[in-house]
Amino acid sequence: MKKTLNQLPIGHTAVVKEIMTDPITKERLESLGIIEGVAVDAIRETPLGCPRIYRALNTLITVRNNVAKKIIIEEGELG
Amino acid sequence: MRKRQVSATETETDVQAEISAALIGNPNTGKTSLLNTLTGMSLHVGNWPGKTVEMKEGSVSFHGRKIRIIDLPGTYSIAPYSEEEKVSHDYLMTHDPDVIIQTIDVNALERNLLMTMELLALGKNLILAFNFNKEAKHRGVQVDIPKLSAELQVPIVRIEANTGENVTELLEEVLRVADMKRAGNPPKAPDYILSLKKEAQTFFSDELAHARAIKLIQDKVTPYYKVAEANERTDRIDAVVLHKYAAFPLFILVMFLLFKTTFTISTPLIDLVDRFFTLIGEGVSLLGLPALLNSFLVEGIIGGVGSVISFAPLIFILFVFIALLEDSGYLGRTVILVDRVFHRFGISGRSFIPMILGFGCNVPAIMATRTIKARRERLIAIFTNSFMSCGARLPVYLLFAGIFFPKNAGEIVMLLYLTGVVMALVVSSILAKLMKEQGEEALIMELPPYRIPTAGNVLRSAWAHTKSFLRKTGTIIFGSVLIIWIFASFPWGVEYGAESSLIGLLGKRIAPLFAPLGFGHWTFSVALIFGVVAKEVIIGALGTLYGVGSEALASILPMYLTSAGAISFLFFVLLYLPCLATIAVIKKETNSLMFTLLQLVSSFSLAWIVSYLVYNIGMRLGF
Repeated sequence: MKKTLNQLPIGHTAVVKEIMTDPITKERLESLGIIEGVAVDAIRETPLGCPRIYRALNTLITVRNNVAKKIIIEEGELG
Repeated sequence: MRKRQVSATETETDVQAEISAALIGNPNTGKTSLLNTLTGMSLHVGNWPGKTVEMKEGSVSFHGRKIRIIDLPGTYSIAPYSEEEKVSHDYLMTHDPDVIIQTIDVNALERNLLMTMELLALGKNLILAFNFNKEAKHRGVQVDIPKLSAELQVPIVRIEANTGENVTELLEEVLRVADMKRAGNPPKAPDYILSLKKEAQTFFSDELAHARAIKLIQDKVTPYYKVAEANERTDRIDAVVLHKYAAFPLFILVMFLLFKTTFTISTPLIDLVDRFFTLIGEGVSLLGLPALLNSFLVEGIIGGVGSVISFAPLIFILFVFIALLEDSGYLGRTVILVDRVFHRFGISGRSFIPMILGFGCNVPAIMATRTIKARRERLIAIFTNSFMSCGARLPVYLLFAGIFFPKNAGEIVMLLYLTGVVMALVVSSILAKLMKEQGEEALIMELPPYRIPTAGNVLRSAWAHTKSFLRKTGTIIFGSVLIIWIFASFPWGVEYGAESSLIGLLGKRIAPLFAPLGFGHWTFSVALIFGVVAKEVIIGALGTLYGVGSEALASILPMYLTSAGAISFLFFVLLYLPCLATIAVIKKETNSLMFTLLQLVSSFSLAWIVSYLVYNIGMRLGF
């Protein structure tokens, strides 16, 4: 089973493998730093659980879970 | 000899010619601070042609040369998807400014350089203004600027936009780069850019561009740039501000302060403005001018100007608060705290603050939708804001509920407020479905690091918003007040707004429309027309029409209304039409007459249907 960004536990890091959203959402994610091949940390959950906060390229980014669900990641030391 | 002189003057004017510099940068990189520092108060705010996005322009004189600064919207990319990006994209495609200055937050250098790559790919004359160096140094970020500049083949100037440090060096660089271009040898686009656009038909359609670009950026940057570990200060603050249990009490406190500050502090100022204009009116009346001219000056002109200016303190104070929220970094946190609730209705947490402000006054509330960056959501927020029951409607509710339902007045008022909120959410979710657009609902947002706002930036932003209100919206409000004056005063000789005035005649004509709603007597339709000027005027207008003070309405109104008709009337007042100032601000902020008319027609129809239901249910229940 492929792991997606919304499943990344808080405090963990993973590398973005593939962004399967519509092209406009993808463009938006990428221009903020969530890009295929880039490492992303899961930083924090908001009190209501959605959106969650991630860090990529030294920027904090909020992504709703329904979008994070479409971002495939690879966890572990070796990207 | 003569010839020579001419050519000498020509070269001189050539050198003297104005230099154009476009300012671009990611949000939260200090672009606005830099603009303010560079141009001081010479800023001119307008709309980009055909867009709702605001455009700022200013100029600065340096070494006897005039540099015109064009402020492009803060965006993460110039690929033309959002409206802001389209503005930047279209500008860059159709204009060739001498220089483009990109502001860069050194703390997130790699991400900032993504847009640099886009700009270089367009072959633009670029200068990078590295900002927040002190903050970065404090956090342990190290960057070797000369080497990085050589590696990227782009001039870099280190600045502090807030304090204006090194801005002179930046301007020197602007002159140097502009003069090189004018002399016919602009700096060439670095060759490494070609590898990013190679296989693409156009730069922007290349899906791989970002992945390739970031790899290239990291290769180039890594030797000369050492990133700090996580941003501890921001993390520490977020641990409290977004804490599971502490977050909402804090949030509610801030929202309460926002509301209180905006509407309480401004009240004495608004009263002062009102008193000032009343005084002028009284002064003019003493001149003994002919009655028509006197009424025109006092009620029309002075009243009109007064009603425009009385909004200024409200808007100024609101935008001071909003700038504080935005510049400190908290605004983004408020959005994500409540986003989950609003997401259910197809909108986002960004709609929350304008909605809350709507309880005070819809005019500043609609201006506050400027914080909603997604165009579709902003339009929805503007459309539904007048359903939020503003403060001016409360006296009408209290009077009618007090007369007809003395025991349950509180519950009736609560019910009206609640209905407004439900209507706003339901209509939002319908519009969100109708206007569904790819990618728009994603709410992918940067949470900027917490920073201390500077007084200069906050005040300047508040003043810019107030000024744009007075200039653009003011003229519409003023014009509409004049029209109402004409309708209420003619045919000349009638008592202002009385039965035989044009408004009275119009009211009588449309009264049958309201008979099925339980308030078919013409006095109510006339009062509703006056209610469009300002909702609280409804009471005064009814008093005038019955020839009594508002205290005596208690004994008169039940002669014309049943209890069911009264509550139906209140629901109608809640929903029927925004006041003139709100209509003006809807027109100004959307830049669309069609949208404004659509809002008015829909509100009116909705109000009619709701009041019809309320009246009929009320009658069944025996009111």
